[in-house]
Amino acid sequence: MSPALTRRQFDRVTLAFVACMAAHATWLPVIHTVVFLTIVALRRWLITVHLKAWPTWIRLPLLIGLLLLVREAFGGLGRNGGTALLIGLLALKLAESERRRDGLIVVCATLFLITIRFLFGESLTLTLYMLVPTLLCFWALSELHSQSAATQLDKALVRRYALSALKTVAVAAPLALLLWLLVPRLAEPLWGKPDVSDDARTGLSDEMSPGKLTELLVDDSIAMRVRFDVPPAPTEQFYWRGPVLWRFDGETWSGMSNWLRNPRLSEGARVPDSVNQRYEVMLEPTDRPWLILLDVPVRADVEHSLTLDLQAMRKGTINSLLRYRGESMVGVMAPMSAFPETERRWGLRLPQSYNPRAVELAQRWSQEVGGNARALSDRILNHFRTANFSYSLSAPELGRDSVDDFLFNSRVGYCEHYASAYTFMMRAGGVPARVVTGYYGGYLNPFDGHMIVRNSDAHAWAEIAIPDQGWLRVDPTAAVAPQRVDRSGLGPQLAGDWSQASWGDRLLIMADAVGTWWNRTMLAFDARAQLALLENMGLDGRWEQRALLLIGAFLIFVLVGALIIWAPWRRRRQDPMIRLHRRFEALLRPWLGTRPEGLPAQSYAAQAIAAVPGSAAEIKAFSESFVQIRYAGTDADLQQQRALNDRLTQLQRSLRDQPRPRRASAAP
Amino acid sequence: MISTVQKTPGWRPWRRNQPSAPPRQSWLARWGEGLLNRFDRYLVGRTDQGLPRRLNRRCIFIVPTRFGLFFGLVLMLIIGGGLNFNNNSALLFGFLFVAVAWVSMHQTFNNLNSLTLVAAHADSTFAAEQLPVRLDFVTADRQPRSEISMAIASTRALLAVPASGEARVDCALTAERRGWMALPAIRVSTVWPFGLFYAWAYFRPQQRALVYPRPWTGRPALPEGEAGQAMARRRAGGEEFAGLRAYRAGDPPRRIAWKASARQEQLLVQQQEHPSAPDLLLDLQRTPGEHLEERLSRLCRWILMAEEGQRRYALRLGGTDIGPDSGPQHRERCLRALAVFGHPSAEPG
Repeated sequence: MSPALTRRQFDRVTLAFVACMAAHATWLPVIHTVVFLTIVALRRWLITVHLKAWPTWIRLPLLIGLLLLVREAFGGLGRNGGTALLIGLLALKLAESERRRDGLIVVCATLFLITIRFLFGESLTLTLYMLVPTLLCFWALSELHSQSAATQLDKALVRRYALSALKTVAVAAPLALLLWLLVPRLAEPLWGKPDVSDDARTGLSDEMSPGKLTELLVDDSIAMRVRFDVPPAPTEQFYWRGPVLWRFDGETWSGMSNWLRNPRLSEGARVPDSVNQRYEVMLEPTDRPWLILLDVPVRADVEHSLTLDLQAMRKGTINSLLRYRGESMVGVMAPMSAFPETERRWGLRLPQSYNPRAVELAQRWSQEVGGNARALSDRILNHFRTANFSYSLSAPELGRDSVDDFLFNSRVGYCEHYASAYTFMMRAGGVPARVVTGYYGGYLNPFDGHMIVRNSDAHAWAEIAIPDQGWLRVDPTAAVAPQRVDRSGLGPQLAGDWSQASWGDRLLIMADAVGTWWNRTMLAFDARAQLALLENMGLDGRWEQRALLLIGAFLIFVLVGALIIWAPWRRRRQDPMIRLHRRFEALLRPWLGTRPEGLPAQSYAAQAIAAVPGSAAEIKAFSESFVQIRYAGTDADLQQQRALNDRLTQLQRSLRDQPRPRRASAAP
Repeated sequence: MISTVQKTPGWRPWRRNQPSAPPRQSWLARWGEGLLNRFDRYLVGRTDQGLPRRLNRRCIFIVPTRFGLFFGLVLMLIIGGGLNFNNNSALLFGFLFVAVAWVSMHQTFNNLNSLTLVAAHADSTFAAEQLPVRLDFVTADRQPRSEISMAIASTRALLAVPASGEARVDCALTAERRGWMALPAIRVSTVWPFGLFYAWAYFRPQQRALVYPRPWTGRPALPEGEAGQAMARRRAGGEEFAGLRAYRAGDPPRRIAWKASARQEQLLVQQQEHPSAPDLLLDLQRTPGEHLEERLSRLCRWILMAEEGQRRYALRLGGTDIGPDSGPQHRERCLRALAVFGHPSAEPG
């Protein structure tokens, strides 16, 4: 049985666990955090009154309570439920810990929890913070294995343990980075994605029900970061294209998922011949397949397919930060696909017997403008502008005939309402139209020139078919709320330039730039980026070369290990007097050979005088002052050392004239 | 310096009164243990004898601990998951833990590396008593050592050596049998800093300690016989300074005969012999006892008793006589003879 856990060891383990739990508290329901902390605190308090581990009749109900609590909050053992259960079990384990073994298990599980936390987010701040519980874990490990710490309390010892953990982690960090860079990544996961269904990520979807969901528009989390090859003018407009919605059932707009499965149709996309924007996107995980590209997308450098309505889609969903380069053509119409008839047919489809007033109005206007698409569009936009429509995120619920309700009753809404109503009316007026969702604008960081697009920048607009030209983008929201779409890609307080920003803003901007750098270089690193890195190093990533690289990395590891063992910086510096005498011996080596171990300096000098009588004076001069200084009882100062060195130089000069002994007598 | 690992039982009422039986082991564990023991014996045999001995990479061995293996399992889980989900932060931390384990392996090794045992000193003792052993360790580099467990036979101690410093460990061995006792191999081991690896090495000092026979328990009557009387008479014959003898280290100063000493120009001590207490002859042949060890044990007790009573005594073992005489040196000679009696080969060169 392993030895009992001392109170101090218990405290160290608890500290590491609590520090790790603090990071999980950001997503854990408050009640869970409170319950877990209470269990740990109670146990800690009971230790001070010398109560041992809790008996079964307390632990069993606690365990059942924990299972119920997790079930109640998460329903099952998904990612969240599983992690919450693990944290709870660890709290209970701490409550019953009384042996060292228990402490070790808790520390190991805490290390595991540290990495699990990154399934919930990988920001730079979090990564830096996680170093704290890591250090505490290793500190706890060293105290758990300490025998002296178990018996006595010594401040110096405690400091030594903490320092040793810190030093070890510091030495290990570069090695970790090397492994991180070189260990081959998986291009495809071996098993399923982490179950993040209970995460309820807000993001673009291929469904839009005006008035149903405003969550996305108030979510300030980052959707993606963009870095342009050529920094764009701040006045430029950025329409980031996401899902395109065709189908309307009177309530909800949805995408044409069956198109994606049709191989014939999926090859029908046409893109512009030229490109005027090149950029790099770091897309936060969305759990959805869309790559977000600017305006009229031309291509992206990750595997994807471009549907004929120009949605760039991955095969699976995007569950981790994805980095890709995109190329787009800005300021042109989206070309018609290879199947204009299909598009036209779908772009005119309307649900039967919905919104009769809107249909009637649209048909009337269409007749007035003679079926001209642009004229009808202007007519509708003008109506939005003049008929007392307003923009608000808190729009009232709409009835069954949602478009009628919006157009003639509430007249208040946000982009979804306007895009929906506009597209509906265009279709009713005989012009093929579709809803495009995505992001509008973004926040251009003046410090490093990258752009941040937040979920609250989500937007919906429309595209109408102009015969023989393509799809024209129309943003009906702009008609009613120019400020909504006229931010020129900048935050309100930063519409000016970097030099006018306040210090607080500057700090925010810089922190943001660092965060972007982190995402670019660290989080978006994957099998592809690794291959690119290897190619930069002149390797093409064949498996032999990878093996070679791994062997090289291993050798570096071994080298570092050898350095740690050899530890030249820990060697004591050689005594300068001994160094001087070594030189003396080296000078006389032709005559005397190597000085036998243990031969006193004076006897050695006597032998030397006998062997080289011609230099007797110099030998004597050196030897006498050497002995005098050496046995004076104090360390030789610099001046004395220099004097001795001079004597040796004199000896060297005089020895040059002395006859060398024959080989036979070289080693007496 | 000696600290034993205390084993306080946990609060498990249903187990409270159970005797601490050896832990039950599976056949695999037993097989593993046997294999380890054999390997350990091989290692001891490989270790160079003699002192001073400095540990280096040729005599330090290192293996992962059971906890280290468990830790490795957790790491595999973390890295496997990180690779699968391509979660870079998790991978970074997973690799950080790997690197920490790697560095800690070298630290564990380094905690023993170049540790030097410069001297081992053992006094003499009686069988079945504690043999005090003093060990002097030094380190030559600027790295302080701590958390080194030292085991010599079944005695354990905790060793800490300051940077470029020395540490003395005083411990005690149980002397089992009379005769020359070689100091057993000294095992130093450490799991510092994180308990992931276990490094160990052996020192094999060639020092030997003399173990006297175990003194007979109780106080058997001294053999006051005619032989003793005869010896006393023989001795009384021709000594010029009857009642005085030369000073020997350990004699109390109040017994020094100052006047006689002044005349002789050497320190003389008054003999404390009472006329009624003649010399003793302690003869192995005449000592009662069922076997040799019992007789030697009785002789040992007699020698101690005679010294207590400040009697002169002679020891006859087989054909050799020692004495008659008294005093610490004589006692030492006699005890030594008893210790090695019958073990001629055990006499050290």
